[in-house]
Amino acid sequence: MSLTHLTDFPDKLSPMLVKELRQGLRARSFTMLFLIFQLLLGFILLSAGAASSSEGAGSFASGVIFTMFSIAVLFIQPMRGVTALSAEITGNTIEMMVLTRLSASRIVFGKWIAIVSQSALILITIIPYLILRYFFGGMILIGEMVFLTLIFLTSMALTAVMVGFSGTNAKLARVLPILGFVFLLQAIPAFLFRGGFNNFMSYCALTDWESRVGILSYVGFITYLGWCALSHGISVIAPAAENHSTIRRWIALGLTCIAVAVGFHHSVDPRVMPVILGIILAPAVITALTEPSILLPPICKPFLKRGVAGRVASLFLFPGWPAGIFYTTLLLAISGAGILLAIRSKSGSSYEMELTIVCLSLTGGVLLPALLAANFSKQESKRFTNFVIFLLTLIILTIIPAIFANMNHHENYLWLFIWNPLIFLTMVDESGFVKSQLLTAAMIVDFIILALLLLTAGIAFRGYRHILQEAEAELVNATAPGPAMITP
Amino acid sequence: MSALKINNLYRYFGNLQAVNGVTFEIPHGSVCGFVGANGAGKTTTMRILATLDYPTLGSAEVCGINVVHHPTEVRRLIGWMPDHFGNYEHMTVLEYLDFYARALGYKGKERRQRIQEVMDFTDLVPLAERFSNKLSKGMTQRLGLGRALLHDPQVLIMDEPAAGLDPKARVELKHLIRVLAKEGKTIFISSHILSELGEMCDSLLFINNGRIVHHGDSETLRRGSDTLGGVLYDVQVDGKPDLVSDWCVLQPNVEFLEARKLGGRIRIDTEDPTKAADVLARMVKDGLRITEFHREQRNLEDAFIDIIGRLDSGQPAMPPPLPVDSQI
Repeated sequence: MSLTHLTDFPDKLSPMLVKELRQGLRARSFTMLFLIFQLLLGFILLSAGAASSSEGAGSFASGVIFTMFSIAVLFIQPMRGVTALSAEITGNTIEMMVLTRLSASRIVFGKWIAIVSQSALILITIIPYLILRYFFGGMILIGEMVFLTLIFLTSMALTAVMVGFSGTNAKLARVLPILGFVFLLQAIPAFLFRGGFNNFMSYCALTDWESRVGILSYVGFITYLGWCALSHGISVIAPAAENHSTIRRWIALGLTCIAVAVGFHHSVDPRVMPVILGIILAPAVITALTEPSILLPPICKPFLKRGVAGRVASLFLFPGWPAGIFYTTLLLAISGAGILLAIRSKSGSSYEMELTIVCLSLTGGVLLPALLAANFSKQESKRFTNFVIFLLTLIILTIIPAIFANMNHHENYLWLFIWNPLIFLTMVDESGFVKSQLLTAAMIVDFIILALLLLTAGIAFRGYRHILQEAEAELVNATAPGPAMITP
Repeated sequence: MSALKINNLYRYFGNLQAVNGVTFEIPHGSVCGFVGANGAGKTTTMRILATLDYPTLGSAEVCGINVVHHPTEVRRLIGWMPDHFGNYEHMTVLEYLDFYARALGYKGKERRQRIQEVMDFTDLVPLAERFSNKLSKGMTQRLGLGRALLHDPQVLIMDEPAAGLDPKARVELKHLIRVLAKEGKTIFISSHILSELGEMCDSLLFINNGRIVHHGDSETLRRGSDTLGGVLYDVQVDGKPDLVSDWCVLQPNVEFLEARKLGGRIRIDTEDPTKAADVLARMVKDGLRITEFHREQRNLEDAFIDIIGRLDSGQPAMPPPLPVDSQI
């Protein structure tokens, strides 16, 4: 037996990356993609080369290269992450990995990086085609390079989303992003061949301040989205004694405070703030509201060590949905107060009732499924699945009444559904409703849901008492002189 | 200090009580069999010891380290072999072990050396270049054992390792476990095949409905009394075998169970050996020419069913736990 080929990857590389690369590079899905990609690109570019005298051959070549590359890295490669964690969970191999020195984060990042590095391999292979395309003329060099980078970064984020959510036991939650990809897939060629490409190339050339901020914001957004998804995956596979939740909550809290502070700047339109805050809050809040409520003494100890401040912080930062509800309330309070104060601080800014109703509707649309999941999920591990199911049900219960109301011209019939906060999204568009009434109703509904959520969280927190007592006893034992007792 | 110690352990899954106040200790260097019906709480208990699950109440320790408070330290001490685990596509046996060796922190030459040792021990060398998902059940179990042994753990926790194995693979596995036991490793092993556990294990733990109903060595179980406190004896006589049955009819505490070629099988309704001696003396006094009189050993399946039967009839099932020192 020869063990020499075990040196094919250096020791410094992450074990997960080595494993995934060994498996991934042998996987038929990757080798087929790689070969077909090269063959098609070669054939099409040769054809374009033959017609290089005709006008627009360069633009056509760019369109082909970017379409092929986009399909490969924005669709096929991220899709390979769809079972990244679930296959390990169902195969009972994740537990064996957890028992090694691999942390949950190294496992998830390893899986993500392995797919990203294969996408990078595809990126490298298209560079010769881009050089060839340069000779067709009419190339916006910076624009195309930035565009290429953006596609790759988007691929990284989408791969992160797929890998991160592949750990959830909700097949539905894993299938939903695929539907998004299908939509993306049909949109790419339409975008690249119908004039959008040249306009976007000009935008990507970063010639003005607006485009730079726009692209930087986009990069920031996909980075945050990718990180949130990976962080979710880490939480799903991590042992119960590991806390990955608190750091995630600190980061989202910090970003919320920064966004609120930026909102006070005179150049920022207050109407943009709900959008930015929505982007920051949505993944943080959904994750916080659906985390399993499993609390063990080792997680409590760092909080208890910090005395009263730690105990107050634990209300918001303990892992699990009960603290997640208090944390969500805190984020919503900071965001709401921030938006209102930003509007007041700027002369000429006005309070937009319709935008407020939309914000309240979307907020309630997240809180109500969380309330239902908190009260009707028997298994902690299925809380996220149930949240997704309840959310989809609410969306359906918004669409169907809206269609009926439109068909029969009985808009008032929608009042029957105001228990579903998402219904306000359709009501706000109808002319027959008084906006101030809608606003009041949306506020009342959101308030009731939030109050019920807080009540549920309070009851759930009472169940933590014996765990807190055990953690306190452990702390006392650890600080007491003499040999430490392991358990009370 | 015990290798494994569980104290008043409870684990609930919603309303289901999977483990219900389990307490036991297993000394260093011993092999302990864990026996129970499906759903009795074996796997849950083992998973808690392996830091893969957590108790609702109570504590579990491996070599004195609490599994909830210090899971990372515990993981360095244990090797875990689940009843079922999947293997990877497109990965050879060698690469599979290499991945886990890397994940356990082995580097360079040390890693290759450790893989070599484990492959030699588990006889995986001929399978080195085979894809790990193309192995038979027996080979997969050997690979699993190899993986569990990579970091040379002090304690090996094996959940139903013999399930689904053919007789040859079972014998091979038993041999490996014996060798590991000789090396001084503590082995905690669950199985449905009690006879095999009896051969391998220094002690046996019976669990039923989440409670420990017996902890002792297999010899005690084999020699133990039945549900009603009776003990079986094989009696052979010189002369007509019917003499034994005829004699038993007149005896209040002795029951004739089964006629045999040279005598019969009797049941004496007490575990006290002096009473058995009295019975033998009476037989001799009454003119029976006894050529053989010995206590029959029960098989472990009978013992297990007896214990469960005692529970059903409301009798205490669990004898006092053995002192730790006497269990080896």
